[in-house]
Amino acid sequence: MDELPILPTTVIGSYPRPKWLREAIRLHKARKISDDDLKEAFDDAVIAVLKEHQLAGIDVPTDGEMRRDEMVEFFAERIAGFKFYGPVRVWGTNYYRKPSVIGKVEYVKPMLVDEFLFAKSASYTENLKITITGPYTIAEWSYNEYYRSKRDLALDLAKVINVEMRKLIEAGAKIIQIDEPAIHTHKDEVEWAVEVVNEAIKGINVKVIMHVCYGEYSYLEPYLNNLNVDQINLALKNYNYEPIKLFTKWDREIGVGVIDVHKKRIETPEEVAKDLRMLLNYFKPERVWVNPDCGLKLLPRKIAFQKLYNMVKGTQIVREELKRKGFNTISLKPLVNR
Amino acid sequence: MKIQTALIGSYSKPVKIAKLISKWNNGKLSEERFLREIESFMDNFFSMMDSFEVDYTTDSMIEWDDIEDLTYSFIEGGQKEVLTRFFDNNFYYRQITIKNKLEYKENNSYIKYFEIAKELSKKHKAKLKAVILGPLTFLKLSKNEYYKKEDELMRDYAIVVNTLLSEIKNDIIEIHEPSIFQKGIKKESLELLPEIYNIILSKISAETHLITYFDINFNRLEYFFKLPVTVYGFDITENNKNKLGKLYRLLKDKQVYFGVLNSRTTKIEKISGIKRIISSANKSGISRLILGNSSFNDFIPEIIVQKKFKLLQKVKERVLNG
Repeated sequence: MDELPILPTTVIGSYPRPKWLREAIRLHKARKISDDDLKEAFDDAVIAVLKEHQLAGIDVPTDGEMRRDEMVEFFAERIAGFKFYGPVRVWGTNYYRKPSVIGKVEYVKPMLVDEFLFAKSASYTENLKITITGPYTIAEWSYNEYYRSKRDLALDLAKVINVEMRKLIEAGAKIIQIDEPAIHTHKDEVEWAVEVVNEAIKGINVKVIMHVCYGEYSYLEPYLNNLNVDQINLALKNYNYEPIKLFTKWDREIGVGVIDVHKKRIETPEEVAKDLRMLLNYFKPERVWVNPDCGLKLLPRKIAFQKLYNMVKGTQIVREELKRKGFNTISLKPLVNR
Repeated sequence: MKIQTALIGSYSKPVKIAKLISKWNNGKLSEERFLREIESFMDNFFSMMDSFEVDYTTDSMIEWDDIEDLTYSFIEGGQKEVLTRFFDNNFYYRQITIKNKLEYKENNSYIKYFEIAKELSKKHKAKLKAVILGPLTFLKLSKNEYYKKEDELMRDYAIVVNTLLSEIKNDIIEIHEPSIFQKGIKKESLELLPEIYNIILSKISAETHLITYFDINFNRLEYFFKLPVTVYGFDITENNKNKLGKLYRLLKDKQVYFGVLNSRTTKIEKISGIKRIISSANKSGISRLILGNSSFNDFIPEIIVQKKFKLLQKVKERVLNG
């Protein structure tokens, strides 16, 4: 079925890893369990995550990105041209291994296909979303020791990401989300960053979503119409929805962040419903998807689940109201011919 | 021209220390054990700075998440809230929302940690600097929900900082003021800054290093040089390299800090490049030149920070030994 209920609910991508998976990863690093054992643990974790998404009532789930430690690191480990020197801090006591580009970046082999195929086999719905980090964000969140400019690096990364997306479509992906949380970092780079994203999604004729979060959305706003994506989804709850006025002219789909992933307080269904009703003053119901602000991986698992559960319950309240007005489903077909 | 080296801001916090901080924050580690670990780290850090023959250093800022966190430790009237991007870096801090009049927090943890650092630094060569966030940058990094006028906020902040500096009585103060070159700063705020700095430094007899990073805005230099400090600091990496020619002409007889080690890339600088900068600085009539990292070392892996300071040590040796 290429249809979804009105106000489809989804996640951004990541979900808390179960404690036992973290333990398995630790044991694997200590060479106390085999590669096969770790793979089994990852597979089991994906099954568990999809079950929780199903219990929460999510329409478009992901596999929780169980196999990925971090969104740039994962790809840098699999694309030629990168080197790791050690962890760097992003905030508080949170680190990632920020990679350095020391040679030409090149596609080596499929990075996400196996992950996608397993998730598809375990999924309760065909409407599974697969996420991939975008070329600008990989370039911005890496150290460039090789390329003359960040733009040259990002363009080469776009070619790599495009190859991977085509492989995902061959494997049956219907919804691909390109994650570009860094796209609005530098005001003077956004224009070409959008071109780079378009390069990465060229010829990708399935539903393409772009995820953007935390930062100056106003930098992105002037270039929104240049973007060839079907949907953008955004962190909004964290900002008490203040940035929505920047997106009112956006006439394609918008994924609205109604769950703050940086706070442990659990939003109530009524609160989600109230927020959605307010958001529907700005956007057409058939263009709105509902999601948390960002990935949930930093939250305790129980809280992440309860937040998702309440997000769906709140959405269902508004969905019923919309049904009475004749809104029932939306199509999964791409809105843009790429 | 006198040439010296310095570490400004933070040292790259090892994961091991971050884990200890998490345990401490979650009540899973005693204060005694935590302080012992911090002390041990700082001592090793000062030894490392000695090995690199660094003339000035901070305490590594290991105990703080970021400079806003450091500031939060000695002020009342604010609350840490939204996770916010630090300038254009992939580095985030919890923004302080100012909800009440800013006041000095008695018995604060800044004093507690600084006293440890001060005591430890006595047996090391590198001189210890006390790190402070400049009033304009504090204003820009925070969210004001209390003050009707920005000048009132900066004045109160200045009084709080002055109280802290009076208490710690350190010989050298490192003030971080990158926002002076940031876009969108009101002219009134810039004009008020010398007065605010006079409040901060009132009855404080210390050498003051004013540090900026990420940008250099020539239209603001007249305000910058009006600030009553000893050393004026610039980040001269990335695009700022192209501004150096013009900058040299404005630095005659000044004591200057140049951030020559790019704290935002793993690419190691060339000795020849830094030597050229020293040579040009000398010709321009700078009276004292301090060289070091361009901004916080949190932005690069620890091993790279060490490599860069090792390189700076070599440069210094070669220049001083002809």
